[in-house]
Amino acid sequence: MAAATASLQTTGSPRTTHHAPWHLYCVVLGSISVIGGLIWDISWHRSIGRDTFWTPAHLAIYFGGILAGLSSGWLVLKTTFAGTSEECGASVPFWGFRGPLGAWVCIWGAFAMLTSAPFDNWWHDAYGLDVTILSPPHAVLGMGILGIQLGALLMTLAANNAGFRSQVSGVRGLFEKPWHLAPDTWHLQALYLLAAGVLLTMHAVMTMEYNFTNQMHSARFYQVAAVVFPAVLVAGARAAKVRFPATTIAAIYMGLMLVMIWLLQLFPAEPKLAPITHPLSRMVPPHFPLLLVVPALGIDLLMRWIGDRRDWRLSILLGAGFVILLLGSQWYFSEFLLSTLARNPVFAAGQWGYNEGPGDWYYRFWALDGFADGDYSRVLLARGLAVAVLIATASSRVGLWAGRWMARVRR
Amino acid sequence: MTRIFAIGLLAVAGSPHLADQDTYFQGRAGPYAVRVVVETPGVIPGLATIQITISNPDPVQQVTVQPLAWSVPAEQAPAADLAKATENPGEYQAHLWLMISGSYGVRVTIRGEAGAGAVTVPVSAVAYQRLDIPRPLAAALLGLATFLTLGLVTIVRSAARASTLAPGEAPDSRARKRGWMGLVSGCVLVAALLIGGRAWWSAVDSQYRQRLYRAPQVKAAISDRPGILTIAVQDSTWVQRRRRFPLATDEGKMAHVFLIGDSATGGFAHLHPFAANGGTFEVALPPLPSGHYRLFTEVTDSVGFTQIMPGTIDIPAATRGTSRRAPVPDGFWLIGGETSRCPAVPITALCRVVTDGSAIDLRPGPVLRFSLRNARAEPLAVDWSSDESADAVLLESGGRMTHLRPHGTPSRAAIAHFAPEQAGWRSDEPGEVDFPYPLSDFQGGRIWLLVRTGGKLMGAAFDIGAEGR
Repeated sequence: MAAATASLQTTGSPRTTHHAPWHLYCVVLGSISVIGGLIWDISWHRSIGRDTFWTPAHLAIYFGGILAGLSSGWLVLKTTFAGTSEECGASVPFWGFRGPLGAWVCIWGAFAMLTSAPFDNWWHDAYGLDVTILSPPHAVLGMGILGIQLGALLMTLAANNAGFRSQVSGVRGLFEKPWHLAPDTWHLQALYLLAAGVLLTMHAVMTMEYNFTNQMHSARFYQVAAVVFPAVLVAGARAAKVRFPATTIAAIYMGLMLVMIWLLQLFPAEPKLAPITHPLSRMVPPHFPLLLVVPALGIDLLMRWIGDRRDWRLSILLGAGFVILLLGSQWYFSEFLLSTLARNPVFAAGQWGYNEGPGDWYYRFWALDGFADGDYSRVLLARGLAVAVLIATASSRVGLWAGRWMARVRR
Repeated sequence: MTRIFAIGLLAVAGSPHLADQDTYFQGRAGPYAVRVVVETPGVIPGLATIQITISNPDPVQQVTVQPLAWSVPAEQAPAADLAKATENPGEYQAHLWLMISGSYGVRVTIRGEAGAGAVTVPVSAVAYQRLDIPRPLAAALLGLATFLTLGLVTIVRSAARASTLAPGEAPDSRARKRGWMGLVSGCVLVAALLIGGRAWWSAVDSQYRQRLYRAPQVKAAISDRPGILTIAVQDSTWVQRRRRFPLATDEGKMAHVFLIGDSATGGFAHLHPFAANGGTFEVALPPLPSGHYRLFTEVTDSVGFTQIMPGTIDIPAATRGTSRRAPVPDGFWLIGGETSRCPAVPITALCRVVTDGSAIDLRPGPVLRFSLRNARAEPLAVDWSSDESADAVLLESGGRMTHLRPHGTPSRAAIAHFAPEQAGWRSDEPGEVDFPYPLSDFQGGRIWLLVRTGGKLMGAAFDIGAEGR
């Protein structure tokens, strides 16, 4: 194995497989722990109800934030006080300190998460416990979590885009200078795609009140999906270095959700808060993930076909393609999910919280566009979907801008 | 769906609550005499604190508490929680989450060497207060918010200026220009977050304050018919709610109306109106002295939720004339009579009222306790078997009113919803009447006692000075 000292090369060097530095694993692991803890916590609230600060789900969330924050903090301090000129040159300044941009975003996210804790505690005493999922303190927590995930994404991006090629030997990389990264290594791409998949999962979780299976025959579901998903998929795809990046990112989202769905159902649960309107004995899993791989594949194919020089035209095609493909896949798949065929642990359909029901509304479509008697108006639906296309176009355009910047992040 | 409906129905325009929102109860859980105090949290969902005092010499092995919500059968209640013993002998404490507005039953189960038993204590769970943010916390959050906002602006600026530069490359004029644009964008972003966040918080706060529970006010008037008091509930949702949750009779009565005159007037009445129509009650007015009266109307609905609705009435002179057609009021009243003034709270000395040769003593002690003696100083037996054998009404100087039965503040109708077989309370000592209300909670004012003994009704009023606290 070659010596552990860095040799900086920019072009023309043969591809070499290297280990990613340990702090990248820390921030990505922290990001995964946060989103896993968040999904777990939602399930906890729907299955058991009562919690304290120290539930395992909360600990997973805060562990992820602390892991990402502390490892980024260590990196910043090391770069500022003991960094080489190359390390300082590959960092951004912040109030007299230096460190990678992603590290600053992780640190910011960790502080936001810590700020939300006493804020949320007081909010419960003043307004009641979690009357709605989205409250100002939860929004602060959400921004903190997004900070962790964006920070992880930016750090993996910088590692992928840096253009360094050098060698580092195994475990010594933990204590060697952190910038000995070579581009086009699958480890780095995998970490980046994982970080992007976690970010996509976070967006799906934040909008879960609008993407229940029962809402997939209404235009509002497609409008909300059009706001959040195209930007993330398109930006993530533009900055990636694999053949089908958006599809991969969407597959990671689906994989994470399916793992949580199948794992959670294995654990017993007993509701501890009254009223219990729906007795249950197992943890309530989230709903089956959206089939985002379908519109994501469309995004990949369109981006490869149009290229990166006609972004306005591309965004229109991406917007329309996203809504059409999502409509085509979710419309009929949701009918399957509401049928008796899906009521099993694999698809986990019809599983609701201890204070949610029971009732035949479990297996009906809600919020249909049109008439109160459950029918829907094709005209109103079509109008709503047209609005969704406009929203998706705007979201795709933002994604393209963001992706262009992300593809050039090197610090 | 039911939860949202219940909250909506309870959000009515009315006066701030003048009734004590905590619940005081005493009863028998099998062989154990137990007192229970439930301190409601003031917000829903919120955490209630339950203090349990067991006065039984036999050792107790376990005390548990369990919440019964009004909307589901008791069999679907969550598993009971263990209450923890405090440092005081016989005292236990537990906490329970009250998740929806409405009525709850707190079931307390005691197991020990004497056996096992349970009591259920009805609690009315409503959001009635909004806590202000403590200054130290506000200062800390402001500091953190400042740090986060400045940090966010700096991050956006650094991202725009330097994130795409090659390692080791110094920012050129284009990069510096991007940096300034990033600074402006960051400031705009932060401003939008702060303004939007403040607007959101204000909207939530405003909605919450509008939905705070306020007992509906009543408008009382003396009608043209001789001596009839009409009480109209000022709540536009009253009729709709009564269709879904009709009123339940409490000890055979549709409602309890308390007329409390000021100290100059001295009059007091506890009346039982009948429901006329559409949110109106009517009752014959007793011959109370003229003057200004506070009026409190207590009702319980079919799911055990009790409300005390305040109002006022000015009673003119000679309201109940000599007409033989004037109906007889259903209830009891005190006119003038003996009022004993007690010097201070806590009560350290006996406070006595003598009426018709009998004496009613307000005894010193932690809870409200009276002893009844005849002219020969012999205990007077209380008619425990009759309805409303004893009744205490507390009116504090600040206007807070508490209605106590011997078993405490819950009405019999509320108890009947959760535990229809639960027996009432009677004092063990002859000639003694006690109520599970700690005198230390009383802020000074007047206490009326009405007690049925030997087929007759005795009453007395006690003034407790706040200056002694």
